[in-house]
Amino acid sequence: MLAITLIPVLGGLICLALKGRRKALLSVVILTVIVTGALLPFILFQESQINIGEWGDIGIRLEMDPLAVPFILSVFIVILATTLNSVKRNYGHLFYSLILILYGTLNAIFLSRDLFNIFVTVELASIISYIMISYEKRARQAWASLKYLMISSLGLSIYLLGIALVYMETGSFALEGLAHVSTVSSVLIFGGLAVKSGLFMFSMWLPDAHSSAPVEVSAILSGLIVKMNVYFAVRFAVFDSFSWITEAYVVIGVGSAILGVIFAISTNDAKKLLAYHTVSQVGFMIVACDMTSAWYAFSHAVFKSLLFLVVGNISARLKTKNYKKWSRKLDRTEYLFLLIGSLAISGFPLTSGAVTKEIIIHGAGFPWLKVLLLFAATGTAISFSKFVFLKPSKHFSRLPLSTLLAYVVLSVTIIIHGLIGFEMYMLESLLSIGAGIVLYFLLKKHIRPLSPYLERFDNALSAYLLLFVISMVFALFRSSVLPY
Amino acid sequence: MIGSPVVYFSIAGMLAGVLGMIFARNIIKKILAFGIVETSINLIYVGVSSRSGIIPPIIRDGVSLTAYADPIPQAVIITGIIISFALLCLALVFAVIIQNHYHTMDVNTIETSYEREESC
Repeated sequence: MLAITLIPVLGGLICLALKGRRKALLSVVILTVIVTGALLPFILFQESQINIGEWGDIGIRLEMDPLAVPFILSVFIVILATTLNSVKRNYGHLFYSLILILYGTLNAIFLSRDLFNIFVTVELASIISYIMISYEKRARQAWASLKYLMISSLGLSIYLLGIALVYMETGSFALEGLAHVSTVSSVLIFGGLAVKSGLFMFSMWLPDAHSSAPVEVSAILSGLIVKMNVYFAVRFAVFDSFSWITEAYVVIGVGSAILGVIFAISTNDAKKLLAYHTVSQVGFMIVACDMTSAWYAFSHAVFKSLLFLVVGNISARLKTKNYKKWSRKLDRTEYLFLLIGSLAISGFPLTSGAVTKEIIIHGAGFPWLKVLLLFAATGTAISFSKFVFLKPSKHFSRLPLSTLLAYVVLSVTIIIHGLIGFEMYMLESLLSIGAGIVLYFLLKKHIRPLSPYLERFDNALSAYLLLFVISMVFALFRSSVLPY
Repeated sequence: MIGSPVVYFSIAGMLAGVLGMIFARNIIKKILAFGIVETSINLIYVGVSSRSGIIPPIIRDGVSLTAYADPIPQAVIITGIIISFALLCLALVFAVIIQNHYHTMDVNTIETSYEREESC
């Protein structure tokens, strides 16, 4: 089980030595990813546990259990597609070694089972993502990455404060200790992890960071790094001290889903549209805090990386991110994969998006929750109609083999997942898609970009702190520490 | 609630650092305030690990077992110090890249130039 963490890191270190030789570099990278993926069937379906150093309660624990399966699978598929897509661009050896080390770290995050190990692996993945966002050393990327760095590190410092309180009350950093701690430390832990989650007011650094990053890095960020909070939320929700978190996440999730879609409908920039949709989809995922969120995280990672790779390649070729200038210039092959991705995210039946989205909508507890989630789904269909109704040009071009392979891997996963989980009630999603298309044609003339006021640094930081204080007050009310 | 005054000092330090991050206009001052936040977190772990004694956790004769400092949170602090050092270096590198392009360290000027570049 340690092998899926250590083999990619070893591959990354070998890549650092291969400075000029492209063919050796690329073969080492793809070989490492495939070898690690080949080990997955032996690891994923057995529950095993390692206690490093045999130090008992105070040691480092790694453990495999069914909750981590969709996340580790999504890591493998997204990183395979991303490295295949990056073959045709001129990245140096540092980029590939960072991607491989990030792969090993992401596996370690989903396997770690004690509070301090979570902190170390999450910070390591974050530092690698700060470097990779500004890999091309442009000032826009540096500013987006600096905002992300400061807000996210502040959040993780709050997480460290929370686990200091857990240590003072229970004497160890083990996860079982969370069952008897006070609510204050559970709010601090929640607030610390929520900053990386992509929910609406908690992480307003997300639109700038995900849209300025290079193509492959956006796919990895939106697909994998925002899922860490979903994983930990599902894992921590079973403890008593976190019992307020399922209600808080219903409100926060529905708010993110609707507000993210409103910002996405009104923007002109294709990559920002996808970044706002990440905000909305994470809100959708976190409404139901259980195993269905985990499978939604898997399917979201796959179709969001397909969309980011296609949109990134198109905008690199046409030199513009404004999707209104793309009509009649898209090749038919690119349009086909863009269509598959857009149908998946809107929840068209027979794609994986429909399977996971309809399970969450169907399983929603309250009737008003179902109505609000259907609004968010209709809004998703409105904004992706912008891509679907662009006119492609007349010819099929030949994409390079590696890029085509990357798209095919992701599309096949979407379709197979959609076919395996198909049930009759999923045809309801056709209603929301139809309503979305009609509303798109009605609203087309009135769409105007909204002001990026909340994405400035001071405002993003203040929004995060304000919502953190509000959730602290809510949690203390719910666990009856303060009198009503 | 919690008895030790070190915890309250470190929470006060975090509040001061956070207020500095929000209200400072210069990027370097924001980075310094961020350093204050990280140092306060290290302070709370020092407070947690020295329970009542200040003797390092190496066994010596004639000292009762509860007088030693606790070695486990000290591992947390060392990792925390290294991580905050790396983050400080990265933040300063980004500040250099921003200075080379926008020729200013004032946050409001940078943000207006950023939004103007984006809309055209």
